[in-house]
Amino acid sequence: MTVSLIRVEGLCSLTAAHVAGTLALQGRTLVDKSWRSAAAWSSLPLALSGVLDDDDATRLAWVSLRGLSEDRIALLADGVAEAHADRVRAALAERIAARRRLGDHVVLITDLPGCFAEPLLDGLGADERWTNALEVRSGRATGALEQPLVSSRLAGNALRTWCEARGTRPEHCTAFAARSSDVALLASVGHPCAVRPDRALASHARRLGWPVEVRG
Amino acid sequence: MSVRSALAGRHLLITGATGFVGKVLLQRILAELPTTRVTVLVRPGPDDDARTRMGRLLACHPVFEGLDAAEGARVAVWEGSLDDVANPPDGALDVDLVVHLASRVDFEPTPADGFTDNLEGAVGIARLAAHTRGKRLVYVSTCYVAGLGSRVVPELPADLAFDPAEERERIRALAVAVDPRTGRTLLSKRAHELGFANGYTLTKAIAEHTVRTWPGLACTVVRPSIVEAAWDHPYRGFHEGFRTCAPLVGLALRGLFSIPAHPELVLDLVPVDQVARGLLLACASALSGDSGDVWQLASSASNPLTMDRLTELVELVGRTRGELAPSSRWLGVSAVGGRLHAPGRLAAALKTVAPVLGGWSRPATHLARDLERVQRAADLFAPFLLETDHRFVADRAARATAALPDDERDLFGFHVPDLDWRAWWTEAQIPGLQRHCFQAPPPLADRDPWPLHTHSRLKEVG
Repeated sequence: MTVSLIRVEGLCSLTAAHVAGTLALQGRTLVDKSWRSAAAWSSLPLALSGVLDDDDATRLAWVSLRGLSEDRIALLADGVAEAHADRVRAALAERIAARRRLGDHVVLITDLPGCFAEPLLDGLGADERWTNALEVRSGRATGALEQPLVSSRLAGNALRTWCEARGTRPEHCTAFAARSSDVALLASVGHPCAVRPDRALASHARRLGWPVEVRG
Repeated sequence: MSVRSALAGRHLLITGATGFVGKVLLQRILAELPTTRVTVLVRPGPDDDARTRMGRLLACHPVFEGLDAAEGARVAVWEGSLDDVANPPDGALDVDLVVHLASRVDFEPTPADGFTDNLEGAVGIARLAAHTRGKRLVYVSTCYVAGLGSRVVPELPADLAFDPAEERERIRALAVAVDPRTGRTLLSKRAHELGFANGYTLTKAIAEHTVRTWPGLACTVVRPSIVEAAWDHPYRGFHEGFRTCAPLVGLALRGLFSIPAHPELVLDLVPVDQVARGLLLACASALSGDSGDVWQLASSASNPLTMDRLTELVELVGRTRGELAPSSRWLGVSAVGGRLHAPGRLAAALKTVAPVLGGWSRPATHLARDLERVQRAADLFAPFLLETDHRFVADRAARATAALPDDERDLFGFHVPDLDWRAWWTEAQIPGLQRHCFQAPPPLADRDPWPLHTHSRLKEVG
């Protein structure tokens, strides 16, 4: 079996900060809205400037949902999916279809929690989706993500173990990603491809001879 | 236990078949139990006799959409009301089971209405059922015969702290002695004194006791809680229950952003199709020889929905459907004490000062009248939102569901413990209230009535 691993965030410019920031406006009061927005939107510059690593930035973004009910998050997630569905479809659908035509098992990978990712990625034709999960206690989000995070499934030997369970090897996998934080993923597979990469990833790709798609 | 086997070839007499639950129960029987025959006790309409009225309902009402008119061969009509059951016409006693759904679901009935419809009606039906071939009755009551309070309510006969016969006579006397308006107030007051939410639940409690202890009758009592929109059958969102959630949801969607209730209070709602399923399970059980049972069809013990969650769902669904402005305040519940009586107090004050207000006296009187209406609504709902927080156990329906054959479990099982409240509010309850309760109901299809039999011919065609 050959596998295509597609990192959603970079390919369609959708980040946890984007989604969480939209929902932060769901606070009851101005103070409530303010701290939620601050948590959600600060995660992006803190990650870009290197103050926080990607996992911590993702965690910070989702802290903004702390205390919101599961009902509110689920129903608002449908609204988020509606708002971003066209953009995500435009960025991913063609690539997914092309990889499936080649006979690949297509896996979409995203830092978004499943409640946001599922309605957004539903119907794109991927075989599998790796998503995070919001931790919920007594019907309300704690602001934390359930362990293990998606990122840990890409690290170390985890990908090799996953491949072996499916009768394949990372060398037979293709991965598409756009952010420097996904270097580990691209380096683990036999066929890495940087798609509209950020500056750091572009530099890595050039040095290591990985193919780069400037449009895609 | 198989519902299909227990009801195969059986003949049921159903009262209240044109009502909210009755229609869904009849639809289920006609759709899924092809050898079960039904006689319905139906009053004539303003322009039609009972047979035409029922035939038109079956042909034209969306609940029965998709059913073949040939199914009408299994339905016979007994034209009459609960007053007529003392003199059953020829053939009406040839039934295996009587299902008594008809009642006056008015939280504040006049003593005359409460007595005639809920008390005398039940007595008449019990007397009739005791003379039928099957001598079995499924009597539909309400969970709220448990009275006010906060406790776990088991599926047992209500423990009445008064003499039901004496109380029945008291209501009869009230019906004769005082005008309806005063009688309504006195009946409500008496109900509160005896620990009930209103006159409706008091009359149902007395009626339940009466039919359960009727000599020579195997009686099964079925107590639904608050019956709301359908989830699966006859179609998602079918609704005709205007009395409990509808006013609250309507006010919320019109801008009332605070509902007086305890946030952690559980409002016991149950979809109408689940009630129909529970009734069929109870009927099957009664026909299989079990009797004397009390069945509760409720959600509060197995799948509780708190007021806090309920109001948030109303707000969210209203917001996502564009009926609440994005900037509108969050709905919430607030625990109120003395404020609950503020409209009444203000109305009384306005009425006192109105005569000396000159040109303002008329608007002041109007305002006082409106405030009195608000107070009446608050008084009506207070027992359910502030004073009662029972957990109604619904084990019998759960056990009967588990005992169903695999191919019947999806069709006849009582699945309230697994109901997803978010999906139900989003896809059934709010759309159902809007389609059926907040606007004129959809017009009936223009078709010829099904040709139904009168009850006496059913034996011949069966």
